[in-house]
Amino acid sequence: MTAGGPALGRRVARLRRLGGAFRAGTLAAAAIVVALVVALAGLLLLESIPSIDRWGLGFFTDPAFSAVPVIVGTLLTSALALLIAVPISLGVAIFAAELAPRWLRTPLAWMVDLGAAIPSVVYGFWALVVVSPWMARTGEPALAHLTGGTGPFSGLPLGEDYLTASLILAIMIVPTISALSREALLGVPRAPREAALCLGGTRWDATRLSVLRPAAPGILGAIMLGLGRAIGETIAVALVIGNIYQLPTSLFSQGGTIPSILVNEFGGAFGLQQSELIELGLVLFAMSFAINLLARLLIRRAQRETGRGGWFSRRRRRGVPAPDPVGTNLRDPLDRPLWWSRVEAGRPRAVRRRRVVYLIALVLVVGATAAAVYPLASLIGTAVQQGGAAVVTPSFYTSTPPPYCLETNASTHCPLGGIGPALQGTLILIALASVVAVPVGLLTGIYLSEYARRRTSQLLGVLVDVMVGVPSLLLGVFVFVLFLRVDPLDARSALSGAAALSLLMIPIIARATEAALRTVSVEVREAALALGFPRHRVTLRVVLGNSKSAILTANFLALGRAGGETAALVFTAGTSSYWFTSLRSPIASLGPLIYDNLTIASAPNWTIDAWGAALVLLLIMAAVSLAARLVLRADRTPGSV
Amino acid sequence: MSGAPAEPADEIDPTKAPSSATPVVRRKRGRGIWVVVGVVVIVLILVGVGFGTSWYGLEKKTTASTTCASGVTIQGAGASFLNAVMSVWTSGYSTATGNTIDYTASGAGAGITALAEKQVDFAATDEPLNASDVSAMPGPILTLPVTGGPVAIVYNIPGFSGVLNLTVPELAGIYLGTISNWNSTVLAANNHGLPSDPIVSVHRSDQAGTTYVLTNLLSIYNATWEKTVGTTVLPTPWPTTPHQLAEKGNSALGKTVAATSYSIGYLDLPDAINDKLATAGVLNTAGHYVQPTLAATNGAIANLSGQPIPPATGSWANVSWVNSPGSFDYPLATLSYFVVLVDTSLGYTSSLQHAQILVQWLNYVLTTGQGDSASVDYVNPPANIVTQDLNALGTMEYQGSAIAAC
Repeated sequence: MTAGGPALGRRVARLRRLGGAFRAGTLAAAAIVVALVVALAGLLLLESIPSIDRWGLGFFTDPAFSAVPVIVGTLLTSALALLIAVPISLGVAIFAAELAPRWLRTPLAWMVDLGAAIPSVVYGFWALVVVSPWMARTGEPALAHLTGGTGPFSGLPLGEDYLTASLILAIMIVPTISALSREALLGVPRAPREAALCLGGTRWDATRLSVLRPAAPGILGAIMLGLGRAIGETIAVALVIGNIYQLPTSLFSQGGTIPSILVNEFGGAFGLQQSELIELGLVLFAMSFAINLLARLLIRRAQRETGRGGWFSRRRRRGVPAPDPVGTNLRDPLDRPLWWSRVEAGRPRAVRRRRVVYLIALVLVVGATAAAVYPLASLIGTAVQQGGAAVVTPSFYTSTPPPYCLETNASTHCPLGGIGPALQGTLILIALASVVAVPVGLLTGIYLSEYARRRTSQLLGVLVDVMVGVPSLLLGVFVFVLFLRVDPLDARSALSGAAALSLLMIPIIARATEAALRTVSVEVREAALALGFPRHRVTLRVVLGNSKSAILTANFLALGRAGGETAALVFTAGTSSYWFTSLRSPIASLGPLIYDNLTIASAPNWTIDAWGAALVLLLIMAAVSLAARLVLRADRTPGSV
Repeated sequence: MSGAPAEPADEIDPTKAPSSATPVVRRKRGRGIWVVVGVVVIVLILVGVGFGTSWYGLEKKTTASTTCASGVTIQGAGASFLNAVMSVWTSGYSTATGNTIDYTASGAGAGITALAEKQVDFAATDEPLNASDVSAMPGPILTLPVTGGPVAIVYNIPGFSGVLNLTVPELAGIYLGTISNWNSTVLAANNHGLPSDPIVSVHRSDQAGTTYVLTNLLSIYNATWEKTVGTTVLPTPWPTTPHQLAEKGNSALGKTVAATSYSIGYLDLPDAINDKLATAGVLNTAGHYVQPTLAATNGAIANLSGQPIPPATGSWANVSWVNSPGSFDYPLATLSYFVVLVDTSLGYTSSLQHAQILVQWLNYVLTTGQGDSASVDYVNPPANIVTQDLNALGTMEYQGSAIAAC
């Protein structure tokens, strides 16, 4: 011992230093995240000052100004989207997790994941070309006819209005809500479910009573995330809402949202107008902040309620039952006295009734699933039909975009060109963004889960959630304005675009890392600590080692999200038709390429290129979500659920 | 010697302590995953770094050169009106010189803002800069007309087989909402067989040069329009009519008109042709309904080039190409302008070499580029204006001294 003392001491000291350094690293990463949120809010506020000076409270009350209509528009479209999306999403989640035949569950889950990963510019493209004309010609006239054209369905249906925008939003958030709700349902222990089945309940009874109740907080979280996405959605809404800033008189009214007016007007605004738009951005930031806090409150309450007998139970406040040695007060999963169940089980009529309820539920969830899958199929079908030919042409990936082509007659041959620079630019942007976002996100996640005290962790968690909820367009505006004030020459450059993308990725990675680390049980940590491990090695090797697949998946998904991002890049990365030259110049990327080709020029070859690029993005997203799924499955021990 | 017994103890690694079969297998698989992650990260970094051959050092060269450099990228932003001819120019220029042009067609207003905020070497706009635009610039500017074209009035009226003919007051009435149905008696005077359906007017939701051209003409004919909206690129304030839509970009507007029955809108001619939209004839001052053709636009520009043309350094705010007096001239014509800083070093342009290439590019557009216009349905500015532009290029400076030609 005396002999080993000094060497061991040095070793311990070294480990301590290492541990301290690691801890400091995680703390620094968390500090970066805090600084970013503060900087975001601070800069938006600072830039809003000229507008606040000019308008004061008139910003919200002056009818001559378009702030009120777009705030109302943002809230209305999001609320409507939730109204459409929540029942459908719940149906999809229940079907995919509980009622679907086993062989269907995996492809369904994959399809839902894919739907959540499809970039919004692709949804927007499809919405403008397919959904909006359909709504104008068929959907809305039918609705007007059915309702007699009164109340919310009065007015001339144009296909670009609150209803179409809300519908597109709903289509976009259904996969997000479904995927997360499905996870919540799968996370519920199986035993109570089997108990319900044993007592003679149908599979619907078992789902309703034993699964939905405990999963309620998770489902609520999913809905709130969907709401956050709806509020911040930019490109798709701007393309189909009509962009007339007025208060709605019916669902067929044209309108605008905060993100849509920003993407329409921010590029050409300066001085006071720029400041006004940034103040609108600040309002949007405040709204997503408020939603986050509300979500936390609701989820916490739901968790308490679940502990007390279930969110969905009418009798959840009944309190502690009186002692009942004989068992007459025991209740079945249907919340009826157990003796009643036994009696009822023998009655054919009651059994038949429950069967009917089961069938109705089944029809409803299958219908919801069909309603969710049909738009995805239509979108993918359109992309394959329009962009398929381009995607199988090898030169499409290596050529620069073609010059504008005028289709004066049928014999005009327009060269296809390609998306080479955009593909390259997207890879470069993702690589640059990952270099910053992956370490910062990972370390922040580790700090949240392993080092922070409970209070600190909760507070930081709120900030990270706020950052997850900040619309990507706003991140783009923030980065652009920051560069404009600090280093204007690089405000439209690869650097600026990569900065915006890394802001997008950091909170996603941090949140997912934290969640993954928390699934590692305390016992494992304690065992490792008891064996004499230093804290940081427990974290790095035991905790991280046990959750690596989930973390890897989160990184995949964050990369995929960044790869299809458009709103954050339109003001930052700029556009280019040429190969990458310098980090300080604008850079081509896929999302903006699609958006530009769609909105600014109607050359037939540009349209084909845009669909080709959309299909390439779809294929990449399909590959990413498949890869994520495979990694997760490879890591799951056989037999566990 | 004393350290020796401690060594083995040091080597004991608690991670390796649990030796049951399963964890070992799992760990191996885990390593595989980390190897994959490592490879992916390394590849991504290589992709990022590999292309970064030029990084920061690219444009640091400040000495003038008599042979023009290649591999330089010039930044531009602005009108989407001239986007079609711009893509032909940039493609040809790139092939000829090895330099590239990044042009972002984010709208005329966005281009002017970008030039003022030092984001680009040049801006393109259909709206000549007004006094407040000029005062926002970092230095004196040159206004260089480079191309032009008609702003086409496009419509989608199912069941109407004729050609829609409109007077400017009728157009103003439609956009003001005072003419709300296609079978209005005002319209019926010159058009037979129009349906009774309500008119859906479509305008631009971003700051657009085509909006400027339209509002310029409407302000001449309609006092209400001049008072409430005026001549502007702005999408707000816009008259409220019962049925209206607004879109960002010419193509989105064209697609909307094509998809919306009984709608009317305005956009550049190439996009109107590619979207296969019907174009309306507009009544000119000589009393003819004229379609937006190249000949009618050329005539309009030629007839209006008699107006006082300011020098490149002067204020172009009052120059207008609408409402030409010629008998077969199209009334909604416009020229598109490049705007650059006289002293390029005050803006985005960061080296003398870069400034030389900027001048080379502008020169290309004003010489070789003029031959490309007609292929995508644009017209050239009159020869005397092009000459004035070319002379102005000679006055451009970098840090106060003239830019040597290369």
